[in-house]
Amino acid sequence: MNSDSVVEGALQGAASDMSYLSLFLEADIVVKLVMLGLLAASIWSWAIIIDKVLLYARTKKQMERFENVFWSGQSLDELYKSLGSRANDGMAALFVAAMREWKRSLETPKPAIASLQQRIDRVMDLTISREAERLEKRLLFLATIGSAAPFVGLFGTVWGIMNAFTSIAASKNTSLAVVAPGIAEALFATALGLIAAIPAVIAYNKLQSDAGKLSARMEGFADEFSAILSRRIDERV
Amino acid sequence: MRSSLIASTVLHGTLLVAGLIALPDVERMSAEPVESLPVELLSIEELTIIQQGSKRAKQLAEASVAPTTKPKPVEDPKGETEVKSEAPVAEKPAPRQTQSAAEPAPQSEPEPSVDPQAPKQAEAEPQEVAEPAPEAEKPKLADKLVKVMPISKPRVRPRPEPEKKTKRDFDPNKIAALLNKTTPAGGGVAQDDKPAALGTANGRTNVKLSVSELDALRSQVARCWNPPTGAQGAETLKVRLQFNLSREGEVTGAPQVLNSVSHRAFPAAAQSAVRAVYRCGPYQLPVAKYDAWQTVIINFDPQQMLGY
Repeated sequence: MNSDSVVEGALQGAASDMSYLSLFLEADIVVKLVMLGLLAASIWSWAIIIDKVLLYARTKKQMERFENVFWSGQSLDELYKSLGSRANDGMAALFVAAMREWKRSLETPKPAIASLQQRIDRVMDLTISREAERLEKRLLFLATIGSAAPFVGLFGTVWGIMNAFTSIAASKNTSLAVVAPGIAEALFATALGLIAAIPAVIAYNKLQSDAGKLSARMEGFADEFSAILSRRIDERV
Repeated sequence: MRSSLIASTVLHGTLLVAGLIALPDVERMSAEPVESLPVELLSIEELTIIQQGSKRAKQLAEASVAPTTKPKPVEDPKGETEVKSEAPVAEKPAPRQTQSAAEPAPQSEPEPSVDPQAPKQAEAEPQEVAEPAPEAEKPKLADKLVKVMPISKPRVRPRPEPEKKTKRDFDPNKIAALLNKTTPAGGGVAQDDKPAALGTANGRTNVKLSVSELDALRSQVARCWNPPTGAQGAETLKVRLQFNLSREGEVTGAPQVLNSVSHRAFPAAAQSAVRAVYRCGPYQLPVAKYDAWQTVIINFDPQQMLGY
């Protein structure tokens, strides 16, 4: 890194205006990369946040609608017929998986009833875990951004301050005008890191608990449905 | 996922642009200008010149260094302060004015037209001028005038008035009061590039040798002192010596031993101290402080001077 250019840049920075754009443009290449990376991380984490919020809202609405239909007294076979044809998620997927196993076991010439209950439970567990995974996908990225972004920003700051001190050494001038621009742009990196990290942490906590709630709700439904099917099986035997 | 990614990018872009446009530029912090305290470094020589003063110094309202102790002339303090500030002006036209004071007309008549706002004063003054008062009565009149004036005067102060007042108030018996009472002292060295000061009375009051100067003198003497170091208890041989110095730093007269220690070697030590004082002259000391080192008393302490 050419120390002359550092000094020059620092002095120019002192002379020119200190807008945020110029703060970025006059930064060292490493600091620039850090800033860009943090910006990308912020964009990505916000994309995840938006995506998850929409997904959870959609899932919650679907669950409510399905529960309404399910408890409306409609026969299970009819419900299965109406749902089975399309791709489902959430509680509908759970219901369809269980019903498919039920049908498969009973509609054969020789019904396999003995361990049907266990099979249905296992299928529903599988579906729940698959749904939960779909809900929580990419949430870990938010957690990573939340914990790592401040450090990345701090790295940019340390690097920038290092350059500021290099420029002191190069110009043999300790005046604030030489150091201040470097430190300002360095601190800008930390600011970006925090800007990326804070929403990520908050959203991670919120989305995590939301996903947990949705999973718990699905598990509750699975238990109820399992109880209903178990009663039916026992009636048959 | 793609739609939310696009949404996020758009959001960030909007925020950045909004930030660039809406956020104000960094405000410049206003640094309060620090009042500078002018400090002038003077050499001892320059200080001496200032203290000695110069006859050509400009007279200031107050003495520059020390207040004078001349007895105050007995008179109305009010009148004095009023006149004093205009003293240099009043001094010259004075003798002529005494003669012209007898003719009242030309001075008193234009007054009402000049000063229409103070009719009271206009009344009071012509009366006073019209009857040419005997010389003895004048001070009283002047006092009266001083008493009358402040009532009518305070707000309006037309220009011709103060001039007139100095004419009226002038009294040859009080010339002393008009003079500036601080006398410039001594004929100082002329220094052209700096404003000269009036200086102190004799240019040397309050002069003390500084610690460093005393130390310099002591070290000059100590260099030449050979005390009887071989004697037993030599560190107790303290000699207190008084001697006079001339302006050139040479020893005049005989140094006197002021103390005595009951020790066999004391006479020898005292003798050696006297020899040392003679040998090391002339001493280099600031002439300006001659008063301070005209008579010097030095303690010859073997412990301190020779580092026993």
